[in-house]
Amino acid sequence: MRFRARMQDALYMREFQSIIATLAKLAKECIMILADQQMHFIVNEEHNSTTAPLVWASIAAADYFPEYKMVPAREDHPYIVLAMSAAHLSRALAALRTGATVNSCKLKLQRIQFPCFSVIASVVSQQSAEPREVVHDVPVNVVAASDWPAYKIPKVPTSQLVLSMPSLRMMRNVIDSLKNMSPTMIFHANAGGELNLVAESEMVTITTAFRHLLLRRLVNRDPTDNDEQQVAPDASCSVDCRKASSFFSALQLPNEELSIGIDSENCIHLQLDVRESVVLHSILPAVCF
Amino acid sequence: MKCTFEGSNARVIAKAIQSLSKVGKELYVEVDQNGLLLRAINATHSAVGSIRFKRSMFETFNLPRTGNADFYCKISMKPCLAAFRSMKQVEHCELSITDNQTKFQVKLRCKLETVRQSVIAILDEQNITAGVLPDHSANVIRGEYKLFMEISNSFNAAEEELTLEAKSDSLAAKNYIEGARVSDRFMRSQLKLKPNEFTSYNVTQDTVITFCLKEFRAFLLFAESLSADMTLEFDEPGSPFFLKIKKHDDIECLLIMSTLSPDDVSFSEDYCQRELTVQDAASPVNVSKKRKGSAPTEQIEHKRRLADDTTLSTTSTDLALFQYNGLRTTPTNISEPSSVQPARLLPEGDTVDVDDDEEALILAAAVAVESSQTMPTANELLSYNSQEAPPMTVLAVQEDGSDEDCVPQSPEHRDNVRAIFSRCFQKTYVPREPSPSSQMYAPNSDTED
Repeated sequence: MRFRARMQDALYMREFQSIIATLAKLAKECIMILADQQMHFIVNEEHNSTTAPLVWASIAAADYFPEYKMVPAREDHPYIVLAMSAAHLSRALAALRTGATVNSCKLKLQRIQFPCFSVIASVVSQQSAEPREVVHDVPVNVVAASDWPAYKIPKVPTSQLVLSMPSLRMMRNVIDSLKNMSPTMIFHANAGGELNLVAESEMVTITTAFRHLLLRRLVNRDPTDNDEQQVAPDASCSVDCRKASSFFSALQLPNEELSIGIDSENCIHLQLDVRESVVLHSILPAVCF
Repeated sequence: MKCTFEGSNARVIAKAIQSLSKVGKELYVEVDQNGLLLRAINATHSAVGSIRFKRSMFETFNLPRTGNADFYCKISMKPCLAAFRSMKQVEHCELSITDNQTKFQVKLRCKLETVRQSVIAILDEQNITAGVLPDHSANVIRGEYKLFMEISNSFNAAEEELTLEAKSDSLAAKNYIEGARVSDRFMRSQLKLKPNEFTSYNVTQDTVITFCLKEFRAFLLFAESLSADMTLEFDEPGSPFFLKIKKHDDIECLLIMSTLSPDDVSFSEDYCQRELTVQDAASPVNVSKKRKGSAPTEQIEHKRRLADDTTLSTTSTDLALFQYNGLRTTPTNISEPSSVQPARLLPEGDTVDVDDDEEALILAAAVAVESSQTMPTANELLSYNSQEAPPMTVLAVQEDGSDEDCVPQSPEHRDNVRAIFSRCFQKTYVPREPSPSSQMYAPNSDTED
C-alpha cells in the first residue's frame, strides 16, 4: 500500500488547504479515500454529530496533483481508506496558507512508528532566500477493506430544483440569525428563480426571499405533463437550522459558486464547485416539525 | 529608591513585565548601580528569566542612601501586570519604594493630566541569582526574532516542549524526540533550517536538546516587541540552555532553562527538577543574611523554605496529564553539574523519590506506603503556587512574607481502595523498549510484566 502525491501550484495548494480547513471546522474526524485518480474526503458520515451535516469533497487528482501515485494494498480492492483527525491535517497544511511562498508540497503515506500521512512542504519565507522544509506527520488509521461498506461515498441526491445560491456571506448571516428563531428552517424554491427561507416560531414568521437566482436544473415532476408550463414547479424542504448554519460558517473557500438543490421533503443538497472536477457537497436531511 | 523614565521606555518595561509574567508568578526587582533588573523564576524552577535595564534608560535614578547600594525585593506578579496594563497614554513613569521599604509604588503620568498610581506590597526581600555562567557554551546560534517566531508558529500553541537537533550544517526543530515512544494520536511536526538563515550559526558539537516552549515563547514575545535578535547558547542535553536578547546596550535579557536530560522521556507538568542538586556544606551559602551581596559565582537562594535541597529524581508523575510519561520503575539521579541550586536550609539533603504515589505502588504495597510518606513534597514545596503538583501534603508550602502562623493543611485522604487495586486505575503506558539514549540502572522488577 503506497501513496505519493505532489502539488506545485500555489493556487491549487491554497484551495486544497481551504477545503481541508472547511472540513476541519465541521468535524473532528474525517475519512480520506484515495482512488486511482480521485481523492475523496468524507465528514460526518454516520450523522453522529447533531451540529454538522454530512459533507464530502471529491477532488480529481489530475487537477491538483501533477504527480499522483496510488498503489492499493490489494489489486481487487482499489482504494486506500484512511481515518484521521481533520484538525491535524488542517494544521499540517497551514503552511500552505501563509503569505510565504510555497515551492511544493508532497503528500506521502508512511509508516514511522505508526502509519501516518506526511505533509512535506517546501517553504520560502521572507527571511531566507532558500527553501526550508516543514514536515508534519498526521497519524492515521488505515481502514481495512472489510469496513469499507461503512464509508461509501454518498450519492448526490436527485433534486427537483437546483438554483444557484445568493451571496455566501449573506446566507451565512441570515441563517445565523434565523437559527435563534426556530430550530427548523424551510427552504422554498421555485422555477422563477426565487428562494425563500422561512423560520417560524410561536410569535413570528420570518421569510427571507432571494430573487433572480439562476436556475441550474429543473426536473419536472410529471414528465408527461408538457403543457403545464405556466405553473412554476417548486420544491420545499425543512431542515435543521443548526446544521445549515454550521455548514455555512465552516466554509473557508473563497469561491462563491454554491448551488442548492432541493429534493422535496427529503433533503437539501448543497454543492460548491471549486473548479470543474473539484466539488464539495453537503446534504441536509429533512426534519419533521 | 526612586527612578523615573519616560513613556516609550515605560512601555518597554511593561512588555518586559508581561513576558516575565508568563515565566513566573512573582517578580524579583533588583536595583543596583548599573540599573534595574527584573527577574522571574518559574514554578518548577526549571527556568529563570532576567531582564536588565541600564541606567541610561532612566531619566533619574536614585539609589537608596544606605551603605549597601543594592536593593532587592519581591513582588507578586498580578498587581504588577495590573499596574502596567494599558500603557498607550503614558508619558512618564516613576517607580519608588515607600513606606519604610514595604511598598513598591508605580506612578504613571498619562496624557490629559491623569496620574495613575499603584502601590504594591513587597512580599519579601528575596532574590534569585542563577548559578551558571552563560558564556561558555559550545553552540551559539543567533538569529532575528522573525525567524524564531516562524519556528514557534509552526508548532501548536499548546505544544509543551521543543526539540532542537543542531548539527554543524543544519538545524531541525521538532516537537518530538527521535527514538522516544509516542502515542498514536500525536502529530509530529518538524522544521528543517539551514545555517545561512541565521545571523550567525556556530555549532561545534552536534546535540539534541529539548526545552520548554512556554518560557521560550514568553521571551520571544519580548524580543519581538524590541525587534531584537535572539541568541541561543547550549551545550548538551541536560545542561542549561541560554537565551539572550540584547538591544542597544541598554537592555539585556537572559533566560536560563533546563533541558531534558537524555535519561528522561519528556518533561512533565512538574518539570525536571533535575537542575537542583544536593547542596553540601561546602557551598558557601549564607542563609541567615537577608540581603545578599552579589557574589561572583551566584547561587540561587530561597529563604524560608522547608524544602530540602535534594537531588530530585526524574519525575514521571501525573501520568494522566501527559501522553509521553513513561512509567519509570527506577528513579534516576541527576548527576550533571548543577546549574540552578536552591539555597540549603535543612541539613538533610537526601535523595527524595519524586515518583508518583501510584507508580511506587506498582513495585510493592509496602514500599508504596513508605514512599508515599516520604513524598516529595520537595516537588511541591519548591513551587509556590503550582497547582500541578501531585496531591500531597501541603505542609511545607508557605507564602513567604505573609504569615508566620499559617496553618498547615491536613493531609489528604488516601484512598485505600486505589492503593490496593492500583493497577486497575492506571493508564498503562509502559514503553516496551527504552529510548536509545537511556541507561538501565536496574532491571524491571515488576512481577506482572
